Amino acid sequence: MNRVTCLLLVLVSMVHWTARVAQAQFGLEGPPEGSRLVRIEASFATNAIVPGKTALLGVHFRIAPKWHIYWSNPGYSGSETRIDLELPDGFKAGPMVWARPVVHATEWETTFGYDQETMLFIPVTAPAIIKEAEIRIGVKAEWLACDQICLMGSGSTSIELPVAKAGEPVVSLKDDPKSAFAKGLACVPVPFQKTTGTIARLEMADGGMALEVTGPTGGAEKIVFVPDFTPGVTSLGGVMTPATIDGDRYRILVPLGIKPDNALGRPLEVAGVVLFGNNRQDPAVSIRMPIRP
Amino acid sequence: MLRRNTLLACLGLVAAAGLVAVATAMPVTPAAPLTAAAAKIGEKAPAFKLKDLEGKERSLSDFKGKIVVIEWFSSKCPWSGSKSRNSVHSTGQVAKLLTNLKKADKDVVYLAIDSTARGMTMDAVVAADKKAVESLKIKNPVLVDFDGKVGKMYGAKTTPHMFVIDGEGVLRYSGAFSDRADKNYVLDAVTAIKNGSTVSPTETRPYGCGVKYSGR
Repeated sequence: MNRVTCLLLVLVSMVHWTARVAQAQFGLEGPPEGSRLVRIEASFATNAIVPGKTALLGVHFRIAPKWHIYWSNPGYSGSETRIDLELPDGFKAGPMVWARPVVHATEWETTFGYDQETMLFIPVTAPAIIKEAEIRIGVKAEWLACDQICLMGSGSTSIELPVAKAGEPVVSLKDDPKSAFAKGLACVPVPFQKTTGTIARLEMADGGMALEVTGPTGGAEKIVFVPDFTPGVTSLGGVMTPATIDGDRYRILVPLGIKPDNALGRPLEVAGVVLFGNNRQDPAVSIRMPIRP
Repeated sequence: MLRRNTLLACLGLVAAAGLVAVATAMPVTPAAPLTAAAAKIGEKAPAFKLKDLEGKERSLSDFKGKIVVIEWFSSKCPWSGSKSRNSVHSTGQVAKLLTNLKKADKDVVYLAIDSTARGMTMDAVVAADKKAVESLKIKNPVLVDFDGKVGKMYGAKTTPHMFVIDGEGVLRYSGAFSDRADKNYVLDAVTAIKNGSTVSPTETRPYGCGVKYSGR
């Protein structure tokens, strides 16, 4: 066996090995099927349900290599990931809390979503009185997984939790920074009102309304605004808007198209996230502001 | 012995390469946003002439005076022409829409256009579409936009992506097939046009697979 043959064997085996590892992990021995491309697991913010209190339920998505699923605004194409909960009587849930998306840009399109893994959250509010000692929450998720092709997938799981007695202390997963829950929560964008130095405001620019966001770069070199889905309000700046950086501050100006007839009965608002880098753990700031026509 | 040592070294390299490959993350780089020069609501819908699956040419002008509904279609997409529990065809949503559209306007025209051709030949696109039409019992004509020019003129992003054009050739609705529940925006738009009332909404966010154009 000469060196060239050896090198070829290394390369071929490398590709084959990577594919085999992915297949073994996600059970892709047969043709790809959307439900086998993503694994879900549910966890709860606390080790017990506290009557009358709201806490987050997290759904951990593990995604097969090369494939991605979508954020609330998929971008140029795609379909958002959905979670439905089956709750005991008297419980309420929602709205969904999204982790920051990653930008998936190809020669043809730019979309927003998640690869490798992510955790999405839903606040669950328990009724003031719970008779049962333990409750079960069913979780159903549905996704569009895309690589070169797109496949619909779904999965279900459930979580059983004891009900805390009055005055009984509960343990919070958020307090354990090594937990998947805390790591997932760290990927949720911070509302701009809770950051230091970020200013978001609506202004008139070139005869129309625009969203202006300014703030500290935090050392990030690439900063973009990605609009969320807001019926009746569209970003005229393209699928995402890059920031201009001046020293240690950035500025983003997003011209807005406002058509109240297209609001589908919802209040007009502008929303989106400012992404400081394109890794899952990179910081992100969320913007959500009402618009009065 | 030398050969055996080379082989062992090689296998060691294979193992190491495999581990490195597993540990390497897929890099993703942001690119410039895609901006399509799309047809606009309230303006003349772009004219087109395309062949259907039998090779017959059909143009928008053939339907002058009639309301035309266009569905962007792909035989490969589970929201569209690929059999799945979400497909607007295999779940019977298009058949139901066609029935309701005919009740609203007996002359309405419903066309599907397939602009997904990346990595495919024209013959392969036609063959895949014919297979989907047969298996999903699709009744409406399917036109093939192999070079994607028509899709880009309309700004078709997803399959399905719906467009409604009135009898004057003006684009009146662009967006989703429905709210993914009971409300069908296409039926609402056609009904409003037929009744002479205002179309609302005129634009919604389409959902589905991205249109895989053959090139840009």
